Amino acid sequence: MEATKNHTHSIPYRTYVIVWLVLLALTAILVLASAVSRSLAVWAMLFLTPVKAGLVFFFFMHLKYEKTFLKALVFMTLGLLVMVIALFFLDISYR
Amino acid sequence: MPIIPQASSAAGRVDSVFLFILVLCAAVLVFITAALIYFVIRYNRKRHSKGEDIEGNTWLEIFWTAATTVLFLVMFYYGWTNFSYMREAPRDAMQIQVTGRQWTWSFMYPNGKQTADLYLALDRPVKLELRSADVIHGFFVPAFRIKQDVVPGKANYTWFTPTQLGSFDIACTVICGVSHADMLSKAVVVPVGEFEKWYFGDDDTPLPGQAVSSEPVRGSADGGAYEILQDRFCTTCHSIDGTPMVGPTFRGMYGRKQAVTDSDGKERNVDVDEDYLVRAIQDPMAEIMKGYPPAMPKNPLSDEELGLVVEYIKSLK
Amino acid sequence: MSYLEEGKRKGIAGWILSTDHKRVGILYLASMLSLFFVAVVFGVLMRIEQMALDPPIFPAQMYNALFTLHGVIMIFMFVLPGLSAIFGNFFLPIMIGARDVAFPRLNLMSWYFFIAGALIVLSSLFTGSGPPDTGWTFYAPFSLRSGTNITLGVFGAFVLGFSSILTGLNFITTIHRMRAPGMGWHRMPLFIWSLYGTSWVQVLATPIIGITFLLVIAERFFGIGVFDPAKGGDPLLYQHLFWTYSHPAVYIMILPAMGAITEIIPTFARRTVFGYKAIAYSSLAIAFLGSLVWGHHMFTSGMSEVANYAFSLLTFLVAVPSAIKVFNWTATLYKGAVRVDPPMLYALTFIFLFSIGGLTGLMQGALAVNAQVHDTYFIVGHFHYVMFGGTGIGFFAALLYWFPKMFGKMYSANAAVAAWVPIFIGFNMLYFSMLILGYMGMPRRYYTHLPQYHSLHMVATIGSFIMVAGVILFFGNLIAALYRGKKAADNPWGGVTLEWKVSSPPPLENFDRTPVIVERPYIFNPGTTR
Repeated sequence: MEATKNHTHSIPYRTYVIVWLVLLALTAILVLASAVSRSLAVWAMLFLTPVKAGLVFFFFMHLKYEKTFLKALVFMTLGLLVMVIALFFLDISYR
Repeated sequence: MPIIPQASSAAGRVDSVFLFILVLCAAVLVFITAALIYFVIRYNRKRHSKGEDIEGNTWLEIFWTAATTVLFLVMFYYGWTNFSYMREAPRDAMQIQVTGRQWTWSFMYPNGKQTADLYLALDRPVKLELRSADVIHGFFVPAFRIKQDVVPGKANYTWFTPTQLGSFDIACTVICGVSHADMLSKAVVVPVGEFEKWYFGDDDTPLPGQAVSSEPVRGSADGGAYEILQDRFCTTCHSIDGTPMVGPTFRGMYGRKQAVTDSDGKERNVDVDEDYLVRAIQDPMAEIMKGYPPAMPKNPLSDEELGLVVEYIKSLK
Repeated sequence: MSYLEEGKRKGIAGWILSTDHKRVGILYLASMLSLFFVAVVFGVLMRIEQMALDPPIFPAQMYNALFTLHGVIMIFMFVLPGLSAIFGNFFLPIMIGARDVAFPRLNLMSWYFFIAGALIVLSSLFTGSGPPDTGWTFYAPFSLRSGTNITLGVFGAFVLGFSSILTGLNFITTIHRMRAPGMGWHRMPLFIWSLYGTSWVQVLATPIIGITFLLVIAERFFGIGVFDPAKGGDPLLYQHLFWTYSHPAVYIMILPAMGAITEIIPTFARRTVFGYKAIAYSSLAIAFLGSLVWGHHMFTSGMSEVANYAFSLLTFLVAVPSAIKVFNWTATLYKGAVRVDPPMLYALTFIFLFSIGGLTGLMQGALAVNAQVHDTYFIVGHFHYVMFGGTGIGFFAALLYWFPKMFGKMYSANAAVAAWVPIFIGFNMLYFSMLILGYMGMPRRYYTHLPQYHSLHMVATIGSFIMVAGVILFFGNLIAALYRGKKAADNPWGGVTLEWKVSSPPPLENFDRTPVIVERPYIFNPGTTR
C-alpha cells in the first residue's frame, strides 16, 4: 500500500515509554478506586477506561498520524459506545 | 373483534391500541401492494418498452419520511400512554404474592392462604408481586392481556382488575426447562361474596368456584412423605402411581436395575437401592436415568426428610 | 478460462486452500446451504410435534433441543452471515472493480472459523449430556443451570463470531481502499452500501456477544456470579448484553438482503433506482439506530419504566429508514420497463412479506401491545416474516439473480416460478397462523398446546409441508441446472453494474484491465435522466 510508505513516522521511544507509564498510572488509580467504594469504581471505570483506550489508539496504534476521516470514524464508533452505555444506565439508574 | 375474551381492565386498552395500529398497517400494506401490482402491469415491458431514469424527488422523499415519522410517533404515543396505565396500580389493590418455580405457580394472599390456582374477586383490582425460586419465568394471562417476567432475585409486579367471571389460562412464557409447556395454571374469577367466603373462612373452607377437591392417592407407609414431595414440587415431574411424566415414576423404582448416564456422559448400570435414591435426590445431575432429560433442579432434603421419602419410595411397589 | 476451471491447485485442495474471493464465496454457499437444510429438517420436526396434543410425538426435552438448534443454526450459520458471506464475498470485489478483497488469506481463515464454529455447535448434539435446551437466546440463569451441553453450543457461537468480525473488517477495508478509479462513494452500487453498513455492525457488535458467551462459560465452570442472582449477579444484565448484539444482528441479517433487492429491482424495471442517496444513507441509518433499540426485547422483563419508554420510541424511529427503502423500491417501478422474471418475482415477494414483517414489528414496538404478544407465537410469526420472508426470500431472489453469473449456467425459469407458488402459499399459511395464534395467547417454545389452539396449529403445519415442498423444488431446479443447465449469457438480465461486464462465470482475477468508472450506477436509459 502506497499510502503507508509516505507515513513512516519515526516516533521516539521516549513517547512510548511515557504513554506506557501513564497507562500504568491510570490502571493503578482504577485499582485503588475499586478499593475505596463501589460507585467510585464504576465512575472511574467509565471515565478512565476510554482515556486509556484513546491513548492506545492514538500512540500505540498510530491513529495520531492518520487522516482526519479515519479519526472521525473511530470517534463516531466511540460515540456509539457512549450512547449504548447511556441506554444501559436508563435501565439501571431508574429501576 | 375479540378472538379471546377481554376479561380485565387492561384488555380493552391493549386491543384498542392493537386495532389502531393494525388498521393503519393494513392500509399501508394495501397501498404498497396495490402500487407494486399497478406499476408492474401499467409499465410492463410489453406496453412500456423504454424506461425513464427518474433519479428521485427530494420533496417526495421529505414528504414520506416526515409522514411515516409522524405516523410512527402517534403509534408510539398510544402504546406508551396505555402501557403507563398498566404500570400504575391503584392503592387499594389487593396484593398477591406469586411464586414461579420449575414448573408450577403458587399464589399467596395477604392473610397467608396459599393456592395453586389464582382466585380473584370480580371487579376488585389486584396487584401481583412476582418472584422466582429458580430461573426466569413469564407470568401471562392472555384473557387479561397482561404479561410480566418473573425474575429470580428481583420482585416484578403487574396489576389488573378482572371484569369477567370465569376461569382463564395462566401460562409461563419464558423457556424454563423441560416442562415449560406444562407450567400452566388457572385464574378463577368469582363474585366478591364467594371470594370473601373462602378468603375469610378457615382452612377447611372449599375453594371458591368448585366442589371439594379430591384427595390425592397415597402410598402405604406415608408418615408425611407425600407432603414433602408435594412441598418440594417433586410430584410435578414424578408420579407415584406409574403415570408417565417428565421424570421416572416412583412406583416400582426401588430394587430394579437401571441404566444411568453419569456427568461425563458415560453409561452404566446401577441398582436402585437406598444409596442410589439418596444420591439421586441430593445430587440429581450426577447420574441421570436413561431415557429421561437431565432437568431436575437441585433441591436437597434434610436427613430426616430424606429418610421419610426414601422409605416412602421403597413402599411404592 | 473462468475461476471454476483455473486455480493454483487442483481438486479439493484448489477449493479449501483457495484464497480467491469467488471460491471462498462458493465454499460458504455450499456449507451454509447444507446447514440450512439441517435446520429446515429441525423446523419441520417441530411442526410435526404440534400435530398431536397428547401424548406428544417427540419427548419434551427433544422438542426443546429442536427449537434451540433450529434457532442457533438458522441464525448464526445461515441467516446472519448468509448474504454477506456468500454474495458479498463473490460480488463485492467485482462490483467495485477490484481483483479480490483486501485480505484474501484472512478471508479464507474466516471460512475456517465458520466451519469450526459450526462443527462445535453440531458436536453438542452427540456429546456430553445432550444438546442445549434453552432456546437460541441462552437466557441466564437457566443457561447456567441447565444440565445439557450449553457450553459447547455457546462456545461454537463464540467461534462463529470471529468469522463474522473478520469478514466485516475485510469488507470495510476493501470498500475503503480497493474501489476502482473513479468510483466515488456515490458511484458505488447500493448492494455495496448495504454491505458497508452491515460490516460496521459486525465489527462493533459481535465482540459484545463474544464476551457475554465467555462469561456464561466462565460462570458455568467457575461460578463467578455475573448473571446468577443466587451469586449476586443480574439476569437482566445478560439480556441487555445479549440483545445489544443480537438486535443489531437482525440488521446484519436483513441489510444485505435489502441491498440485493435494490440491485434486482432497477435491472428488471430497466430504469435507474429512485432515490439513490435515500437508499444508501438509510442503510447507514438502520445500522446506527438499529444498535440502540435492543431494549424492546425486554419490555416485560422488569426493566425500568424510563428505559421502556426510551427503547419503544427508538424502535419506532428505526422503522422509518426501512419504510423509506420500501417506498423507494416501489417508486423505482414507476415509468420503468418492467419484466417479471424469476428474480424479480422473488424480489417483489420480498417487499410484500418484509412489509408484513415490518408492520407487525410496529405492533410489538408499541408498549401496550407488547404486553400481550411478547414471547408468544406472534413474535415467532413476525420474526419469520422478517427473517424468512425478508432475508430468506431475498436470499432466494439474489441466488436466482446471480446464479447464471456465478456458475455460467441457466436454470429453468418455469420451475423457479412453479416453486414460488407453494413457497408463497405455504409461507403465509404457516406464519400468518402464528400471528393469530400469538395474539390469542399461544406462548412460544411449548412442546404441546392447549386444545383451543389446535386447529390453527394444524393449518400452520400443513403450510410448512407445502412450503418445504416448494423449497425442495427451488433447490432441485438449481442443482439440476448445475449439471444440465444451458450455458448462461454474460448478461442475461440486462444489468449495468460491473459484474455483468465480465464473462459468466467470471475469470480468475475478474478483470483483464482495471475498469475506470465515469458515471453513476444504474444508468439504463442515457438521456432520459431527470
